[in-house]
Amino acid sequence: MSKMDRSRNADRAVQDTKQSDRQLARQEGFEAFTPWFGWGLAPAAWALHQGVGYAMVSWLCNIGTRWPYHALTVLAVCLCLAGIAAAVHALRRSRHIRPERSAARMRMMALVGLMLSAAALGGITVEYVPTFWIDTCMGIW
Amino acid sequence: MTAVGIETSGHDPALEPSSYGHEAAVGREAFERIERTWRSPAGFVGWFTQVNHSAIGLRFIVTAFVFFILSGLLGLAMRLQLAMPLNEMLSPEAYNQIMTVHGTAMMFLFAIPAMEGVAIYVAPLMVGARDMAFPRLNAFGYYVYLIGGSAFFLSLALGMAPDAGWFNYVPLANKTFSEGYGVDIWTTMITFIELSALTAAVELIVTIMKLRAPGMSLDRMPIFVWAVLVMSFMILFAMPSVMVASAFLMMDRLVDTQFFIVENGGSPLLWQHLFWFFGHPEVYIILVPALGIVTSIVVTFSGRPLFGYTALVLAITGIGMVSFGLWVHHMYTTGLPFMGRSFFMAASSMIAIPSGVQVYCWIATLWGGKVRFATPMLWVLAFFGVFIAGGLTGVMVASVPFDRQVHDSYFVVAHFHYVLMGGAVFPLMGAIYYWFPKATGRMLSERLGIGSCLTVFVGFNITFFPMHILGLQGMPRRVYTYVDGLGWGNMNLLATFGAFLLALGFALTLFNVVRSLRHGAVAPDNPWGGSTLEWATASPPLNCNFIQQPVVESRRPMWDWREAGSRTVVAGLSEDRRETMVTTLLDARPQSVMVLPGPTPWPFVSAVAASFGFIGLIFSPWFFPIGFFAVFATMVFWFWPRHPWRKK
Repeated sequence: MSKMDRSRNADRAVQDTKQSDRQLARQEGFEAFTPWFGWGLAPAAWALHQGVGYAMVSWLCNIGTRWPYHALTVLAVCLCLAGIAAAVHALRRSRHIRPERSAARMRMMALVGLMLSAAALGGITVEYVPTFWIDTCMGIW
Repeated sequence: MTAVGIETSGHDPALEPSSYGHEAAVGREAFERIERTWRSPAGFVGWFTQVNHSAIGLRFIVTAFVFFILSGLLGLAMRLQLAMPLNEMLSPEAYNQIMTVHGTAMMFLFAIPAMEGVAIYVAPLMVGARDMAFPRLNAFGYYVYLIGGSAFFLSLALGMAPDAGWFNYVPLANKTFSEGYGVDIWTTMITFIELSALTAAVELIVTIMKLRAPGMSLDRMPIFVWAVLVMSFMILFAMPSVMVASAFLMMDRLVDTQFFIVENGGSPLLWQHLFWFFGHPEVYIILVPALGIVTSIVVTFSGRPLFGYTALVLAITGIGMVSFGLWVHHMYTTGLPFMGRSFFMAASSMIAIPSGVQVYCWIATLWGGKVRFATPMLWVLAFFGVFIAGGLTGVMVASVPFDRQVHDSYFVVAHFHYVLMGGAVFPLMGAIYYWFPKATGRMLSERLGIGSCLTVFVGFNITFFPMHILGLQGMPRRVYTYVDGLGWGNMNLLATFGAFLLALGFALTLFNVVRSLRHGAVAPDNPWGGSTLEWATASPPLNCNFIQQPVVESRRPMWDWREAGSRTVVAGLSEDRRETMVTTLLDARPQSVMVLPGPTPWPFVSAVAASFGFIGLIFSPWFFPIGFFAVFATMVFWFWPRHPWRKK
């Protein structure tokens, strides 16, 4: 290809990109973010549950009740479920996305987000269930 | 804006199995002009101005392996000392210094920089970029690492090395119990060297996100690139923790702050929390890119597409996420509440799930392929055995009751050597055999490679398996000797014998590398039949990586182009400036063209100025402002306005 031919192609690829990005944004709006919800919410929910749960153990022992920890667990589970719901929604939406290239990428991101959310839900569960058998004040002097 | 476009060639001469094809793709004159634009200056002075990722990546790898050899020799000295009871080859003071430098250097000076080096060398090639996003920062990071690492090792030669263990626990590391400069060297050099890790992480993230070849959407990225991306984010989140911890300790020792002094309200447990919040992800920072290396080798040598691409992305991302929730399992014996410990016990056991998913994906890929047992594949098979054994003991020590029995014993030493050497060194050795032809244009000897792999595998297991038994028999770690009659002598002697066999195995690879650089068979562009983009350039890579940047249409571009007999490339990039395509984050659509900077000495000068400040901090706090202003002055020249779009 000569330099003249290249000049004829000038900015074509860049222009195409800008057009298709705008097209996708119009088509999707806020929904363009839904495949990412699982990626963001799952780690946040799990880290919140583990980090805040760990930090509140001494306090739970002092106040003599566990309901704040149960509330924290419910909140974390809700975040995971929101991640799962958003990922499933994105998976369904991806059937209608054009071009097909973007749809394939969106399906993949949604699928990983879905599985991450499910894994975080599993993680929260395995951390939560044993606490029913452990005295909150054990090991606190 | 430069005029760029996409073109498809019917019969692409760059697909020819010789580097002549790359020249023919654009014509001799244009080829020479582009290569001249991207050439790194030669000679002694030129060496300090090079910024190309291939040069910097290779330097990281070579320097890391030099530190690996030095640390390995220290390991041999420790094994000789422990070979028999009441041995007096090393004094307790010397043993403590050697043990500390061995651990610290293996983790901070070898494992992370070696992985970063491979990432810096391979990732831009794999994503089809002409260089990394910030070439000068890349060079700066290397000089920081080189100077910091050399200063750290020099302290051992001067007899003033740190001796409080690689995790440098307080109160042992406080001024009261560790006089002298040893701990100060540890704190300042670790903070300094980790700057290098942070710079590499930033460049890798931006390169992977913005400089991918057009068409390489996130779902087409090679698994190695995913692994490097996850590793880089992990570095960004983990490293500040150890930098803050070591800066606190530095200030405790230097200007009498009281972060870790119990008598004045400080907390030794704060050190442990900060250190292990970095320390545990660190294991996975090393492991995650290794998983990418293993995947690359498995796909190439099974000759079939990867089984479970999405599952592997999930596994790598999941490991990165969960690794930040395990740090307390290093602190089970510090008197934490039972309920708190149970959270981390659950999380520690849980990480076996994504790890298992990966192993199943690799087995399924191998199952459906026609496996070639070349040397890189043998290292991967050895990795499977060693890493799975390390993973199984990992599940054991994740359990609070078991961990409390074996804590601080040789069982833990055995476990982490199985995980770290199995998880990082075996894949790294595989990576050397796999990418050496690409980096040097020469093949390594298969016979020597197989000999090295078998010797290392046998030597490794003879060295470290007995340590499980020693640990269960009660031998504590970090002891410079033990009395006769405890029944530990024979196992220790066996481990020492294994250590020398292990060293022989690595020496075989070193000999292989040195010999093959001159006498190895000439390597074609794609000697293993790989499917990813690094094999699309010449061996060794061209100065510009790709004479025409490729356009990607699948996860296996090399295999698809071979079938189609043609490929699509980017046309219109300038031949006289260092230009590379910038693409969109998700779908890698062409977005703009980036002009990269050329050779410059300022990263080196700036690193020297920073080193002056940091090394001076060991002796006086006044070096902090002096270093700060020195770095600021060099940065002024570094960032002096240039005109990247100006026509030459």
